[in-house]
Amino acid sequence: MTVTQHRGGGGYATRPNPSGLADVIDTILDKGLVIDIYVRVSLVGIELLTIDARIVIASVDTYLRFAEAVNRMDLTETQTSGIPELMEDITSSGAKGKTSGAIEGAKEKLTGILGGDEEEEEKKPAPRKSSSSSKQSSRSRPARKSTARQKQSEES
Amino acid sequence: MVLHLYGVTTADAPPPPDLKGRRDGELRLVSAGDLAVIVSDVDADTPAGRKDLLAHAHVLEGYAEESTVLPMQFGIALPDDDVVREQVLEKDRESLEYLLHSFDGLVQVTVQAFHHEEPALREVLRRHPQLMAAREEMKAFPETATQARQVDLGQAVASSLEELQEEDRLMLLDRLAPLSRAVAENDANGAHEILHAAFLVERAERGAFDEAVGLLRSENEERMRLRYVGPQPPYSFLEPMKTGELAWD
Repeated sequence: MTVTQHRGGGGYATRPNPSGLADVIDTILDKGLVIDIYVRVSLVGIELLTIDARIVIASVDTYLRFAEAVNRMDLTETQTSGIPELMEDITSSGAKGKTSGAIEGAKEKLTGILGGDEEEEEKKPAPRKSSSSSKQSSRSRPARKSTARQKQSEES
Repeated sequence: MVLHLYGVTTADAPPPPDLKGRRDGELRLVSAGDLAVIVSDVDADTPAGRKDLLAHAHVLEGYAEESTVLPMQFGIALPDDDVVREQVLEKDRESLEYLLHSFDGLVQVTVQAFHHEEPALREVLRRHPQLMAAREEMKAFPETATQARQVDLGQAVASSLEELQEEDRLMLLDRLAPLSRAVAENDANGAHEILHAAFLVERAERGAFDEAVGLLRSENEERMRLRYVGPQPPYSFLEPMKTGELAWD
C-alpha cells in the first residue's frame, strides 16, 4: 500500500491533546528539574496510588479472562464498527479508555480520590536533603525502564 | 504568599496572555541575565489537588507551544524573587543554559497505543488456528472439567497477544521515530497498552508528526486506540541530556 505522508488540506492532521491526570503522573510528578532545598507540597496519597497503577497483572485470573473472552467470541461475525472507537479516540482522556481491568481501574480510583478528597490533602514543608541539584529524589517506586535513545540523524 | 515554580525559560519569553497559573494566578517571569523562571503567587496553605497538578502541566504546555521551557517537578515553592534567582538561576546557570540551548526549537509529544481487546484476540485466533481448535474441543465438556486446559488456553492466548503487541509497537515506532530527533519509551502498563513513548520533535516539523499520528489512527482504528498528548516540555529527555546520554551541537 502506498501511503501519502503529506496530504494537503489537513487530511489526517490531528492536534495533540493537553495532558490529563494520568499523564501528569508520568511527567510533572516523575520528571522535571528539582532544586536542593524547597518546600514540597505533600503528595503522599498520589504516590501510593501511582505505584498501584503500575502493577502489571499477569496471573491465572488474567489467563482465565482471556480464555473466557476467546470462548465467548462469535467467529462468524465479520466486522466490528470502527466509528464508535474513532469517536472515543477523539474524546478519550486516558483514564477512561475502552479497555477495562485492574490497571485502568486503579487509574480511575486515582482520579476519584484526587477529585473527591482534594481539600483534605495537606501541605507540609519537607526540606529535601541536599545531594546534587541534578539528582532525582530517591522515592521508592517500581523500577521502570525509561530509556532514551538518540537516533542517527535522518535529516536530508 | 509563596512563589510556585513552573519551569525555566529564556528572559525574552513572556507568558502567553491568556495563560493562567494555579488557582488562576497571574504568571510572571523572575529573570536574571537571559534566564527566567516562570512563577505565580500561591497562598502558602493552598492544598495541592488535581486542578493544581493540571494547571502546572498546562502552563508548561502553553509555553512549549512557542518557547523552549525546562519543566520543574510539581511542588516546588520558594519565598521570593531573590531566593528564586539565587537557588535556581544562579546556582545552576551553566547547566540550565546548556539544556535550553540543547532543546532549542524542540518539543516533546507523547503517544500511547492500546489494543481493543476483541479485535486483537480475533487476530490472534486468525493467526493461530490451533487455539481455535482447542477452544472448539473444550466446548464438548462442562466448564468444571476443563479448568486446567482453560488456563493453558488463556496463557497461550496471552503469549500470542504479546507477540501481536510487540509487532504493532515496532510498526508504530517505525513510522514515528524517523520524524523525531529522539525517542524515550516507558514500559507499557496494563494488559492492552502496546506503546507509551515520548518523541522529541522539531517545532517546525510538528505538522508532519501530527499527520503521521492521524494517519496511523485511521489506518489502525479497527484494532487500536491512539492517545496523542502535547506539545510538552522535554520531560523524558532532561535526564539523558544532563548525563550526556543524549547530545548534539
